[in-house]
Amino acid sequence: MALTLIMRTLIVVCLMAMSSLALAESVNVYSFRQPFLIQPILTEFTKQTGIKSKVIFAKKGLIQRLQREGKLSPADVVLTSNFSKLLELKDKGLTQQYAAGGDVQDNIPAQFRDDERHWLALTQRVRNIYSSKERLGKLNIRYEDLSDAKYKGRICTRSGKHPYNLGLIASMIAHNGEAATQTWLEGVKANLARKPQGNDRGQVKAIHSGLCDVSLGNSYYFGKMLKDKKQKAWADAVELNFPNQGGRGSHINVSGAVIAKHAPHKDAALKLLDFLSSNQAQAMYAELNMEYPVKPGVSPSKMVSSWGEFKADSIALNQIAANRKAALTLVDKVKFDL
Amino acid sequence: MRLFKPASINFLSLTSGLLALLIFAPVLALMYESLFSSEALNDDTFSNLAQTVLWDYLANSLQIVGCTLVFACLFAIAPAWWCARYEFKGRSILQWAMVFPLAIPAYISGYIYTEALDYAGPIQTFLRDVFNWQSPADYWFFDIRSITGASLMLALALYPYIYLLMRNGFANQSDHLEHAGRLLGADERRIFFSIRLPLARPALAIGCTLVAMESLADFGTVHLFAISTLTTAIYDSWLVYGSLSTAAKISCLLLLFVVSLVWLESRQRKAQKHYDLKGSHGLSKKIPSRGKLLLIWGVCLGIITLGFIIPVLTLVGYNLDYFTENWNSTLWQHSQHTFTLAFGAALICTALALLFNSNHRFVPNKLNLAQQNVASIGYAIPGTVLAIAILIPLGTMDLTLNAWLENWQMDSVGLIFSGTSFALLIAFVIRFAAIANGSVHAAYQQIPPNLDLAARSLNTKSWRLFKDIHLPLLTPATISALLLVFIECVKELPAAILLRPFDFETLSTYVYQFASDEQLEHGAAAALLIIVVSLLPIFVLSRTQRMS
Repeated sequence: MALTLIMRTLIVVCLMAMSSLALAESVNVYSFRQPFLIQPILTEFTKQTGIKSKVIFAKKGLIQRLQREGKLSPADVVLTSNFSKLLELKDKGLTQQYAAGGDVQDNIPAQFRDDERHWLALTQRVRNIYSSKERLGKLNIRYEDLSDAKYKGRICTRSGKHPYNLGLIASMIAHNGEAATQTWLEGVKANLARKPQGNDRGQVKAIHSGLCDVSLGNSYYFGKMLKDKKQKAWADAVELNFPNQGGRGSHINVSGAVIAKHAPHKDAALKLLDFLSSNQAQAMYAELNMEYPVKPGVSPSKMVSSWGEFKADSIALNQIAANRKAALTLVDKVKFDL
Repeated sequence: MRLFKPASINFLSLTSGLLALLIFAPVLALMYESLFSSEALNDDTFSNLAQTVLWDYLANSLQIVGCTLVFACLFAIAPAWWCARYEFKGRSILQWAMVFPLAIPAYISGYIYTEALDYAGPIQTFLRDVFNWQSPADYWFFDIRSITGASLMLALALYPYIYLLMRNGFANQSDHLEHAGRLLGADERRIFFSIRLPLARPALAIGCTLVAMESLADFGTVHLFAISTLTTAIYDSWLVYGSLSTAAKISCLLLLFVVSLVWLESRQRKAQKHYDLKGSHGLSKKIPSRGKLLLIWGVCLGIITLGFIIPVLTLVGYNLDYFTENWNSTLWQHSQHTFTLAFGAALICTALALLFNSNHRFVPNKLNLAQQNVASIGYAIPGTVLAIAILIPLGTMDLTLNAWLENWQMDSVGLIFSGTSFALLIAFVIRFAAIANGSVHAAYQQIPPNLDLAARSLNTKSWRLFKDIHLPLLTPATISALLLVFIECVKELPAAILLRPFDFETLSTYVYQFASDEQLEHGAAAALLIIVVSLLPIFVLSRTQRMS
């Protein structure tokens, strides 16, 4: 009796679990970017096209998931938060070309899209150096200076293995070579006020509390903190510096999108890409996440513009991406996170 | 005399053997991936890691497990003994309140204590203001983001395993041995350490094994505290280096390590099997002295405050501060998903535990014992790796099924195994079968075999013996098993984050999204829901036990 009851419940639970997949016109998005950021843009897309979107968000593991799912994958579009993921997706054969001569190519400058039309960038962000307003003021600083002994015990950063830091380290290798970058990284580690932890905002909070004076962080976090009632005090305690302005320019990273190789709704995916590169979506990105749009003519938000003009490092993205593995190995070699 | 009829064993053994094999299949897939996949043969990631940071990670993992065990035993054993031994006003509430911290995922309390105790937190800021300290160099303060801090958080969340098992263990002991001890002139302390504690060793061993495995598999807390452990290495090698085979290799090492620990423990325990001669009732209760009562309440309330009251009050505070961000319609949907899945997994795990253990009871051979151990192995696999291990066979099943359908010119059904919540259900069952098994196993060991012999001599069949004798005696353990698995599923994070299908969030993945972004304030309502949902079964359990 008890056993039949258990069996019945099991069957019901299993059936409920194996829910069927929806069949209406829709586009499935695998997103490395957080839902609250892209949801408003996708809602607007649905409003304009009638195409519904479904999103799965994960900070890690989506590429591996796509690989496993193979040709049965429900993914149509993958949104990433950095360029190394874009290139990894292409290298692993998980992408397909988008239409030639479409909106995407009109909207996005060549340096921000793949020559073979496999990926495109949607927004750009700067890897800034934040400094304590009170103890250091505005700085004219280079990334290279972070290993200078005068910053001993004064630097805070998140994990060296975070894609944003890996991108920066890979660009240092691309510019200065591996040996010089190792010496630099060892110097930065020796200057750390605490071992790498938390996220970019956490470092600004640490500057605010007096634990350290300098930190690495993406540009848009500054705006996000200014808009949060609790975090505004943290942002008010720092200056936002654009590094290497006297030389090659500040390191920039991009977020972007690809169409999945086995996209079941390719037409819808193409429409989504067109939309994401349009004036409207670009302006929404700029406004919502305070990033720099990639489409010429779309200006950053008012707040972002108020941080001033800057010179960006113009090195090709794939040149940086080529050094990603070397950067990762260096981080382990100097035991940066330990 | 023969204890069983061959026909009935064959069916039972076959079923449980098959199920054990099914549970083990993902582990086999993992081993294959680590040793024979083409990637495993052509990749230098593992040797690079071994030359640089792998041994630091290993040392950190071992330290975390060791410290967590010490703290968890400190929190668990004395209260378990007090609640089993003494009768005092409020005991029935206190003994259940001690289980409350189990409802709070370690990464949530970790987040809250970091906010409170780190350099920018209110406590250090206050101290700096009072003593006019200017910088971190001016004073020493306990660094919460350390191995000790992480172990403390893990112990606060995990000690109830040891506490629950030990309390049952103590409560089921008889008074006879104590009387014997008293006759020989032993005092209370000596009786506790040389009779009570050794007798409760099976429960202690299982509790400690659960805590050790859980802390080895933890990712959320150590990640939040920026401590690199073996799970970090597994995550890194798979998700940063993109080498699944390296992740599988490290997982296999971790697995080997856990399996040998469990084996050592059970081998040593076999040397001294305890069958307590139960009197008509369990341990009789004593009235504690005034001083003792004060100690009991002081210690227990202290632990409950740290493990439960402070985190909950903080979350309530977040809720009030960020009310509109927290309460929206999606919350109800997420909790429904979570609840259904967790309940289903708990039912399956408990049914499996009863099946495996009764099978081993009726036919106590090595094969059946092996089945039981094999079915428990999932608990040692970190959630992320298990997620991948499950995707390997389920993905293959999907591909095969769709290929067949195509052959018969039918419509493709898509990824019905790996792309639906079925995968998540399987992951939960594999991951937490060990908890149900441990609970039922410990209870089975307390049922003296002469009961079986008596029943057999009356020509009772296995099924009736199980249904009319074992099952009633196992009821508290069965309910514990259901409860423990349910709570674990609600709290499970790393597997859920990788296996959940489209548009599907569990409460944990929803909360994690905010915590990992250092904005738990916005997910505080969902965090509180996890806690409330996890608490409900504790209330139910305490009522049923009080009634019986």
